[in-house]
Amino acid sequence: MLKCREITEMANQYLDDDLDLWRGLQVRMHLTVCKHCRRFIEQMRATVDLIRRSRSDAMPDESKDKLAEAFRRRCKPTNS
Amino acid sequence: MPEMGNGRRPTHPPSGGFLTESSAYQRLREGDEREFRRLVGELHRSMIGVARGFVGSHATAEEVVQETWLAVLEGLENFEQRSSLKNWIFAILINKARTRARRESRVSTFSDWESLDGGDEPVAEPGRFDAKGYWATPPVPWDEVTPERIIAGQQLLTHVVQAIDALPPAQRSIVIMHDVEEMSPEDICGLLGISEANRRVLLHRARARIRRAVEALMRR
Repeated sequence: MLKCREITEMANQYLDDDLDLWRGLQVRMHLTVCKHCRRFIEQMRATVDLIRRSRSDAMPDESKDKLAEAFRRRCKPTNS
Repeated sequence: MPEMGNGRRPTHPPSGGFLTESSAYQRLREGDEREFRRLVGELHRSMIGVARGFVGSHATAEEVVQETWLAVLEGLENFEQRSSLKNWIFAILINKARTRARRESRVSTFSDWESLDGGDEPVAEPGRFDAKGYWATPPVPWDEVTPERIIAGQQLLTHVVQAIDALPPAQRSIVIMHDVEEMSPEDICGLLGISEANRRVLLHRARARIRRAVEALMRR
């Protein structure tokens, strides 16, 4: 049976479906009996969800305007 | 290549996500300025984060990102769509960042990434286990994990953005490319010139650090 430390080391491979069949089974077996590791995995999953949502428009308007100008020069609209 | 060992989730989606892609590319070719503005805005934070994996300062990273977009506009007509649009943009970005880093005499081979990564950092949660490898200090429950939840005066999502910014450069680049931009492991390894094993370790360390940052907030 895997130890808790090993489960945390494999947590992200488990979440990314990146473990082979046998390892995956061992992890799942441990999780059925260990609520601490279950909590850890859920927290890692929640963390990844937050990371995924962290994208936001952060470019200063001035920079965007300059690039938009370059875009207009190079890529004239094809439909008027 | 990841196997479907657990059968719980599909293997990693192909690079591109929302940029799949003919639609975004088509709109750009048709001169859709709003699409261009949307794209540069949405990718900005990620591009800065990856550029900073190579160059010394935020200001230099901003310059590299600007140069990248100009190069994208230059090459748009001839882009053959053999890779995804996003992959292509990041390939240009990484190339420009590497060139700039060399000019600044900052060596940017993977061995330097390992040292930039804080190479001695444990993969497992430090100090939380007993001698036998079981939890000595188990994780405490997290209440109300929503992006908008206010902790210590700002949204949890803002804390996460700051935690990503605070990562060592190599970890930051990997977590941005893998989790924020949903690029495939193969594409990430190809673009950065790193092995799958290295990618895995960097991603795990990055996510583990951010989890610990969130945990510290949840304990308040």
